[in-house]
Amino acid sequence: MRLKQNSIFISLICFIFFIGCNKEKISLGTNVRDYFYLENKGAKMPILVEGNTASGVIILWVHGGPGGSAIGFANDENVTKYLESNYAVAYWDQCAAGGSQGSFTPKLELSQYAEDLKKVILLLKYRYGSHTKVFLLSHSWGGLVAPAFLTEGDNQNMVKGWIDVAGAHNYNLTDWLTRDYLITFGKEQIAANIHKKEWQEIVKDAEASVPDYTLKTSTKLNRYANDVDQYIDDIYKPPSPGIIEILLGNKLNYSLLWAYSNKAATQISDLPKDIMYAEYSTKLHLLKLPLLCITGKYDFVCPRGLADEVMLKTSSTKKRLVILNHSGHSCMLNEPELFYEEVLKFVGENL
Amino acid sequence: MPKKLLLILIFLCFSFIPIFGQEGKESLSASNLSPLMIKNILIINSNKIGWQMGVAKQVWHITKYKYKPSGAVKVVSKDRLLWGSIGFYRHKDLHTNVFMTVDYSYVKNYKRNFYREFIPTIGISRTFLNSTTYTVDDMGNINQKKAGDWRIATGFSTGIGKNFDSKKAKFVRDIYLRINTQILYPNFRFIAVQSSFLLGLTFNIDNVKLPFKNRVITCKR
Repeated sequence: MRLKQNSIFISLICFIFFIGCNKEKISLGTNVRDYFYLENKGAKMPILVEGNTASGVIILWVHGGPGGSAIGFANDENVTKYLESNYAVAYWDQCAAGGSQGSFTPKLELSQYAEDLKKVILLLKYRYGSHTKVFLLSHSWGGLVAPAFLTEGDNQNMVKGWIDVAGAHNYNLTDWLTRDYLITFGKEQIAANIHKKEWQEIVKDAEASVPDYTLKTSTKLNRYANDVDQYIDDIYKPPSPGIIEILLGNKLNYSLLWAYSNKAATQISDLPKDIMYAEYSTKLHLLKLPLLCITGKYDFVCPRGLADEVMLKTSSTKKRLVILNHSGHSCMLNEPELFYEEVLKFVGENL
Repeated sequence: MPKKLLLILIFLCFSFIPIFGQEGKESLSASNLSPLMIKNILIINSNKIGWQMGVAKQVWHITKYKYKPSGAVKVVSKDRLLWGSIGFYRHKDLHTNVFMTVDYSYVKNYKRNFYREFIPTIGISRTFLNSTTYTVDDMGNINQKKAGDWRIATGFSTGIGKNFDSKKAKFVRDIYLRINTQILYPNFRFIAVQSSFLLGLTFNIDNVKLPFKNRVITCKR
């Protein structure tokens, strides 16, 4: 009996030890899939690297949100088709986002995300070679994380270029631009009798919502900005996945419930209130690295004025602005061929 | 902080609502004996697989007689089970989770030995990341580590099952299918929710008999 009890105990210990063991896998090839974690101050953030690591180029996806996901984009066949066949793409789920895991630390603040981004780049160069050329591709909230990192010290020397997609480098300015665009565009639509009733309500509420650095006003404007896509026929909308595809179609076994839990953790933290005051307009002049700004003509969430300011104020000698005429806030989904063509062109020009 | 605490408390309280509320005249009879039970559960969904094993004891058997104005009597039979278990699941791109829980089953019996149950649960869990984890210090030095988190594991299951006739199947007591919601705390100072299907078998350990109490409730309308 004692021997049997000891055997069970030893088996249990061996089992727990076994499940904690992971062999390091670093793949150099044209069609790789590496999955690993970066732990920083208690946050365990997954990084998925797919594509052509043999190219020596990694495009690091800095996702939106906060509380969105980059790994979710790994399921987008357009990324696979256009980017991963040429270069490697590193999908990094930020703190309290996507598949990341944590406990009580760290406190969610912008400086933490910038620090995490720096460590992700260091880790990618450690794994795939110090000569690896890293390009940042930031979207929306990622467009605030990226300048928070790039304008610190000589961090911009760690990357070869920045692709700023519908980035929000100044949250209060974003709210003003959203409000102005909702009002001007809305009045045009009303005059043309296009979705008149819906636009009248939007314009009325937007006029009453003067940006005041509060989360309440910002959330209201942001909600309208997201909703208006359905009233603009000129936006190319990707086909919606069915429920079966959502549940079973992911090539990555992704926990949607976990991702939503992380999103909720971000939303109820102090981060959304704190970033109302975040702005990098005054620091853009520090940036000298090659820059590509991509924005959608019908982007109400992060309107074109933000990209115009980045183009105007950065000191980069190599910079280009691209406006996609049938796109909203998620232009990589609205016009993927044009979007990835510009990304590939920019990366190729700046290797 | 108070807003977060309130949300978490609402989740936890929801699990325990069925504890409250019995009406009518009650009587308690002497203890009966019920065999110790071993529960074996397969945990599955599209992303994960796991196993849970528990030891269960019957705590109550409740018989409720509802007398209708017409004179008809409806008899409702319920059981309450207390059990402790240990289990694990592996979610390939999330973590492997080893957990220990205490569960309380609210069982309502129906015709032909079918039943439905609701089970709130509480315990602890330890996760282990399934892939290599790195740390980068402030000097840029990179190391590997074994990573995971200790958490409180709570949640609830609900499902249906079928008891086997004890004369025909003396060892196997029942089979059941449940939907489980597991709530882990903390995750970035909030909760993380997971769900899965549970497919289980319960076995009787006939040579270990434990007492349970009978409760009879009479309700007249």
